[in-house]
Amino acid sequence: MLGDFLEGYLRSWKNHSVIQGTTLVVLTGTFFVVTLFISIYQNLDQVLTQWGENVEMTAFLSDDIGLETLNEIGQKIRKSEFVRQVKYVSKDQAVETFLSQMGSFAPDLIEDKNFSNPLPASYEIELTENLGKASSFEKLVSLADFVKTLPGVDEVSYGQGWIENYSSLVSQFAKSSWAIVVILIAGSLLIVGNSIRSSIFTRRDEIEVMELVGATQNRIRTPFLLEGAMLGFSSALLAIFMCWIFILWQSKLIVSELAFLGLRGEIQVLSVSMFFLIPLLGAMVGAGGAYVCVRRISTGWAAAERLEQW
Amino acid sequence: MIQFSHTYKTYSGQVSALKDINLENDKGEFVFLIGPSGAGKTTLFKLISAFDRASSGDIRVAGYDLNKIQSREIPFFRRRIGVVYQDFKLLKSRTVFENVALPLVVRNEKPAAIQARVNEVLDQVSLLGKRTMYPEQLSGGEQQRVAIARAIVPRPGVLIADEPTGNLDPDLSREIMSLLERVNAQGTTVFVATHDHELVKSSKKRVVEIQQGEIQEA
Repeated sequence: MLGDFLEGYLRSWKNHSVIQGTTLVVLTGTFFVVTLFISIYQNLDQVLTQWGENVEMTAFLSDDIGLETLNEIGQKIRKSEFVRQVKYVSKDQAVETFLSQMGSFAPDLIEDKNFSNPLPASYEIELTENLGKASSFEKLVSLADFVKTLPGVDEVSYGQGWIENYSSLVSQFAKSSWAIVVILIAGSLLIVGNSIRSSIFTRRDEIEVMELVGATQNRIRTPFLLEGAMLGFSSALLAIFMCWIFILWQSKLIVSELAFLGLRGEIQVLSVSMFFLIPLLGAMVGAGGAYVCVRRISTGWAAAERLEQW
Repeated sequence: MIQFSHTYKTYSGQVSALKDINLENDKGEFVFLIGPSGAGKTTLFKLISAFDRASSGDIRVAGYDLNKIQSREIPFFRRRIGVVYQDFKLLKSRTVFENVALPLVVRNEKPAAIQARVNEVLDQVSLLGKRTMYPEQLSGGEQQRVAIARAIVPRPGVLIADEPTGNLDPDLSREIMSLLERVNAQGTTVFVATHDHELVKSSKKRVVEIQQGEIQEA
């Protein structure tokens, strides 16, 4: 059967090289766009992860709380599964840090004997890894909401603004990409279908003879499904290769132009799972497109004759 | 082996191709179906080979009730019959051996068994020496012998041949008929459609005539 498939596949290329070639090029272009979107999404999400590793939450405390309440707040925060470490910063430590950081900009402030400390005491909360990922953003918000409800906590800060905005941007990008990917894949189904249709037409004599000698529906249809899957698979592989070249070519520029994102000079082309999933998706799209045509052949009664009407 | 009972075939537009066909071929019988072009021979053969359905009536072939047969059973039914066409229906891209081997390949028979059986049949039709040639390198008579070899290679119970000598000269026609008689002598029921009256007269077999879609025993 494999021999039949290879022979038929080569014959399709020989007889319809333009259609087959065009299909391969268009599918490769489609999967290139899909791969590029996935790659961009993964890198944007990676930025958030990198940032997330450094995200710290600060719970500012009321001035009038007692030691018991202070300890109670610390214990409750530590119990959260997203918290790695909690550090208490007193009012004095806070002002000391402030002055050491800002003193050079405002020397008068250090020498001001009437300076009264406006800074509150706080808990600096170090979070577990990956809580900064777009998908984990809701967990971060829920932790902040929880800490905010604790009696004695005045305010919680974790850089909500930029994380929220960036996370929203990544998620909007993901949604738009999905919409485009779905449209491209629907188009790919039609393109593969058209190619397989011409292949079926070329081999209609063979289909008729196969039916005549008692070949089953699966035996007749499978080579065409494999042909579609092969087209999709090879297109996806080519697209990954092209995307890899493109990103390598552009990576230095991207890293320097987008240095503010903290890309650390690493641009990932695709994750290992995606490297396997995209060719699999290509094969599935190819086989799916082929099935649209193939389900019309070898349906039993006078099936081969109906091919003449295509 | 082949049984028609009050069978009708009507195409769209109320064109009656076959009318009240009642026919019975016994196992091992050799029967000619004669009639002019358009009389309904090909339609009758399409019904026998399950390439078309009867509009009404019963058809039983090789143990299958073709009115009740499911689509998925059709390939297995076709493995019980051999079919030969006037235009041979050989695959041009495959050698004589590969064409003849096809019915055994689709049955997933072992390569050694295929090799042995195909060589045996090619020897029977005197084409063993041309097993590696392609159909276009053969004469019309040789191509028809390849088609017959392909039809008989799985040892079918029934062999139907639709105008097997239609494209051949008288000498080659006699050669093909002689081959079909040899197949019949091995116990296969043979049903041959032809409009060559001379060929039929010389063979002295049972003849069924079809005129305007109706059967008349000759």
